[in-house]
Amino acid sequence: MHRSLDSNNLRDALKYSAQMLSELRTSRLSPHKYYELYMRAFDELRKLEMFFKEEVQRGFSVIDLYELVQHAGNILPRLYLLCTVGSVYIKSKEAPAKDVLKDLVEMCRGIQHPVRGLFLRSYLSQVSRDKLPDIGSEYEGDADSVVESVEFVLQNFTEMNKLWVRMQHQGPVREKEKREKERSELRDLVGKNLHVLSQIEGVDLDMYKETVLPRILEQVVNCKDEIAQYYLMDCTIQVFPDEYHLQTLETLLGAFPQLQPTVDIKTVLSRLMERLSNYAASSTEVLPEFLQVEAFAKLSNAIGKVVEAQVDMPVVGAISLYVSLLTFTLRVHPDRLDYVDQVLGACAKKLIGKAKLEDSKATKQIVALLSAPLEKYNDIVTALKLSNYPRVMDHLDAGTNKVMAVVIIQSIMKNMTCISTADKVEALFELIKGLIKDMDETPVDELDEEDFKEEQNSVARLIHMLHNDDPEEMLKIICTVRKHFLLGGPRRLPFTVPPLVFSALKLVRRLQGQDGDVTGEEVSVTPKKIFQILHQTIEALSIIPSPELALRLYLQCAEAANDCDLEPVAYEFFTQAFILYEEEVADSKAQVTAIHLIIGTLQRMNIFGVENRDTLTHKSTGYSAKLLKKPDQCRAVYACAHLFWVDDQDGIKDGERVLLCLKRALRIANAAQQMANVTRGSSGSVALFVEILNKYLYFFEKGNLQITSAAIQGLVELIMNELQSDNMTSDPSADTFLASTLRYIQFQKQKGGAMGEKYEQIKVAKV
Amino acid sequence: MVLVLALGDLHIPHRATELPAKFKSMLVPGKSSTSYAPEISVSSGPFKFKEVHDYLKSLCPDMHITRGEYDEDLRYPETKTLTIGQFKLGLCHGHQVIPWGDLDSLAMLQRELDVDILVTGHTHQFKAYKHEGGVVINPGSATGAYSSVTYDVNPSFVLMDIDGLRVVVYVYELIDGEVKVDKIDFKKTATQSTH
Amino acid sequence: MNFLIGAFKPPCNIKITFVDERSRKKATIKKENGQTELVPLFQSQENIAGEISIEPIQGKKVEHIGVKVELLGQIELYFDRGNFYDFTSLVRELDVPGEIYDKKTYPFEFSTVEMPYESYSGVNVRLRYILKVTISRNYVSNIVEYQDFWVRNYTPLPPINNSIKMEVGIEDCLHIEFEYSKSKYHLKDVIIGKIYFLLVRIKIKNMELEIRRRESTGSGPNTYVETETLAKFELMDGAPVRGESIPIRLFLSPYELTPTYRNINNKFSVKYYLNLVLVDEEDRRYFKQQEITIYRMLET
Repeated sequence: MHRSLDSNNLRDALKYSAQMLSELRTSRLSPHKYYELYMRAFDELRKLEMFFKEEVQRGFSVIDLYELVQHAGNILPRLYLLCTVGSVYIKSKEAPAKDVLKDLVEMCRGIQHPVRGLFLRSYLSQVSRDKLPDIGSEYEGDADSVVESVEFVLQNFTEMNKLWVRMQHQGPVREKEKREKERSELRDLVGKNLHVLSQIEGVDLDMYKETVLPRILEQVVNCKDEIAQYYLMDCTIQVFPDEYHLQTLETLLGAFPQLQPTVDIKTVLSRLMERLSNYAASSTEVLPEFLQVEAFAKLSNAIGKVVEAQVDMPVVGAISLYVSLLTFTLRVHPDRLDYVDQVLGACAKKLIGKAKLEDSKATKQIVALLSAPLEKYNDIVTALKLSNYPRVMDHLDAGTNKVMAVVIIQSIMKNMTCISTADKVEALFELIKGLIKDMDETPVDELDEEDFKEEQNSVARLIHMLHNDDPEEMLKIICTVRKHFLLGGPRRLPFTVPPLVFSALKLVRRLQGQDGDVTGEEVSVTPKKIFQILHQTIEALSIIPSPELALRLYLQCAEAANDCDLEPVAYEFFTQAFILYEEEVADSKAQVTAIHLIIGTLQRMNIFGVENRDTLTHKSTGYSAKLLKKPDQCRAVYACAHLFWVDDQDGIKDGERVLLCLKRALRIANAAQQMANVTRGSSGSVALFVEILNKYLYFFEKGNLQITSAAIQGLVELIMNELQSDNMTSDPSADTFLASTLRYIQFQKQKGGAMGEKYEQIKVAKV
Repeated sequence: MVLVLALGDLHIPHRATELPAKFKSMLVPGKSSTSYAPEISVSSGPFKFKEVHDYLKSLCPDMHITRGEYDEDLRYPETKTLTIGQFKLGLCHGHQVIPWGDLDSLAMLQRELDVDILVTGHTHQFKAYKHEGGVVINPGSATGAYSSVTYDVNPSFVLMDIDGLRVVVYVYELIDGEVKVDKIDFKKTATQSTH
Repeated sequence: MNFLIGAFKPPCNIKITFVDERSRKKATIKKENGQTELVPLFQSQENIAGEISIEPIQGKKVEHIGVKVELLGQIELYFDRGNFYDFTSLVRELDVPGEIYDKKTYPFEFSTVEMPYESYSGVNVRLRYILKVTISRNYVSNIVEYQDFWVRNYTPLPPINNSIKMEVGIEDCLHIEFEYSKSKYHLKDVIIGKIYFLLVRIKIKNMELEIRRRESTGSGPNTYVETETLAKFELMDGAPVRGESIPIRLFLSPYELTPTYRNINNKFSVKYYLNLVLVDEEDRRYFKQQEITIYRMLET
């Protein structure tokens, strides 16, 4: 062929090029290999085209040439040659480009073999691309020529697509999968046409709307092929400008419900929405367009139709469509909460009758759907306005529902969102109810203990985000929370009640601060009222039973009531604490801690009248002395000494009873010592004595006249004697304590002044 | 030189949600001029929330915790002593020491534990008290949690820079959204607590 | 008979020339030995004129009893070789009996000769036109010289030229509709048409259009029919689906066609057919044949 090209022998050139092109008639190659062959032929045809051009320049009639190549008996070489000459023909401008193109695209019908036809038409597309009559192009021609160009490309596209779709039926059924893969590899040959269309200047919005898009969609819908429909819809969306899509949304979307049920519509639609969202984000100027064409309504409507039409679409598909729509809405119309709610509503509607979702993918999509508004608004309060939010959430399985609830709580935490009304709290609790109470079908034993703890701790933390400066509203919030929490059951209450109690106590404290300001006004929220609520709340905790926690909370309340000058209330709380102590706290260690907290709290109470106070101190001392272990008894008893000596101006200072307590402690320490002798044959540690010594020193320094230097002296000597006794068990920490105590005494003696004088009479051996 | 972080009375989740963000941004692993990476952290008091525990652990793996009044977890001891350089540190939440927050009573505990520095809590009020036996430090509540003892609790914590015989105590307090820093110097005479 | 005669060359050379020999169009004729020859081309009603020169070989004389030239239209059937049927025979006497010593030239003319049939050289039949010069002699055989010429007759555009349109098929298997734009084509014409597939249940591999020539000679029991395929033109590659329509565009110029001849002098006919052939994957052929008329159009 080359030789004949070189020697300008036209007849031979045609003969040999037809032979070369006959190679392309093969049916034995895979599409991939065929493509390679095609590329080689393509290069040869470029040379041939050059030759034809020269031939025409030498005076050979291009029209004759156009006829001459059609004499070839085999159709495939004939048509390749025809396209090649056609290209020269158009360039020669001896006939209007549109006529030549029309002829070429029509003649190509002769190739019905899918692969060969695809490549031939691809060749046609390639050689014609730069010769399409277009606005401003040298082949422009008359007014209709752009229309003809478009017609040409559309026709070629249509035919190529038909061939491409037909490929699937070629060959044995068992190789279908492989074939479909090969077919996918060729998709860009078809898609190229759409690209060409998008490059035609003359395809303005009107033409796109009136001709191009309807024709593309017609082909897409009619071909009824999954691969083609998916690819071409996506391709259309990707190659044409966003502005066109926006203006033709209705038409474009109208095609979706007509696609095959297996087409991955959600991906295509999501990509469309993604593009549109990006377009919206590109400039604020385009936003009015979105409103003008009612983009949201159209998308929403289309999705509704797709979901309706594709009955077999798995629920996950439908949900992911709503996720995309929601993403679009959040980006384009962030201010339209009603849209967001509408999307959720549509999704909820789709899920009706589906009960809980078992499909993990669908669940994931729901979580994405529900998370999107949270992420966008960074504000759960906004999400709480979405009436359909909980409806969607209801469809999650219990586990995921909880995860979602935790996500919601985390969002609140992260953004430090304040939930400020009882209504919102109510709405919020509707969302997180999975954490608040047992859902019916969750078997309790399947819960992971650690997870459960984490969840409940999240809920507990959440309480501090529910806040309103107005006490009345705040109380409403507290009552709302309480109402929900009390449904939580014995496992949750220990987690949820304490934060609620402290939230209420904070409110109490706030009211204290306002006391002065609100005089004269009718105050509906009073500390008293709150304490009443607190009382009932803690009671719920004590019933389950969680006595130790309840006891602590009662003490907290008692102290708060003390600060509010509510003696009877404080007394009641103490009474409750004592009842719990007596009846419920059984563990000896817990008893020790509890009694210390009781003593510590009681020591700080200053509103009790003598009688009440006596009752309470009496009980405390009594309980102290009844602790299981002697050392614990001893320590609790000497702690009780502080109940009678409060080191401030108005505080009680009953030196005698202090001394009684300390002496009692000493007796217990002695008893402990003797018990040690009996049980182990050796004396116990002197630690308790040293501790008591320190308490003596404390009250001595505080000016309790009942505590004399002689008594201290005596105690020191007692300890020394004990230490020297033969069967003393050594206790280094006690020794150290004693040493530092003695050193302290020395220090105080040397200090001089009043304190030095006081210490003067105490003689201690130097250590 | 050892940097010791002392914080306590977090009361998460009962009374607070989180450590203040400003504190968190100051305390990050890896040293830099504006943040601190304590090598040791000591903490007293209610410590329920695992997330915070893990956060502190990541900040400073050598962590010492004593039991608060709401800690049911018996893992944490009532008191704990540790030696850092030439200093002996004592930890105790303080609800066991009656009257609560009473310095003379805490001094007694300090004698009992025989420590140079006693870190304590429970009152949610920052205090640093020097006396003949050493220092008593209450870092306050790192979350500014509600307290029946103290009104208007500001979140606070303490960093102790222990270097030889000297310890510089930095107090960080969050007041109206701003972190205020105070510094207290404490020197130990070589003779003290050597026996 | 006379064995001496054969041993001698004819005593003269006879040369036949046409008046407009140089300017006249020529037809390319394939001879029986495969070589081609250019011969003058005439059409019916033309004057056929020229001159005949007789030049005796040096030193010889030609004695004759008359010289004549004949214009003959002959049909020769190969199965009946040697028998010519003259359908046209015109004679012009050129000379009275006498002797020719030197070169002698005779002009001749046949005016407006009726030549109803075209020259044709087929498989079993030949139709030829010749000029035959005869120098008649006594006792010895006549001296004869032939000159072939070719005749083509042009047909005006047919007043009626309907398209060929037809639906054919095999029940439940294949239904097609095809259309050729005309039923009569001139020799350089293009066959335009299309095939529309109404039903396709077989796996078609390709489709082609053949041009077939059917030459029949003789009559009655002695009829000989010879069919040749002159063109095989692929129209379609691959299997179409229902609703597909395939274009036809076949240029006739590359093929050696003649006009359709119907019952020429009761001796022979030449007819042309378009044969549409579909080949399936098992190489089974399905075809439909349609006669077309080919005519010669006056080239302008």
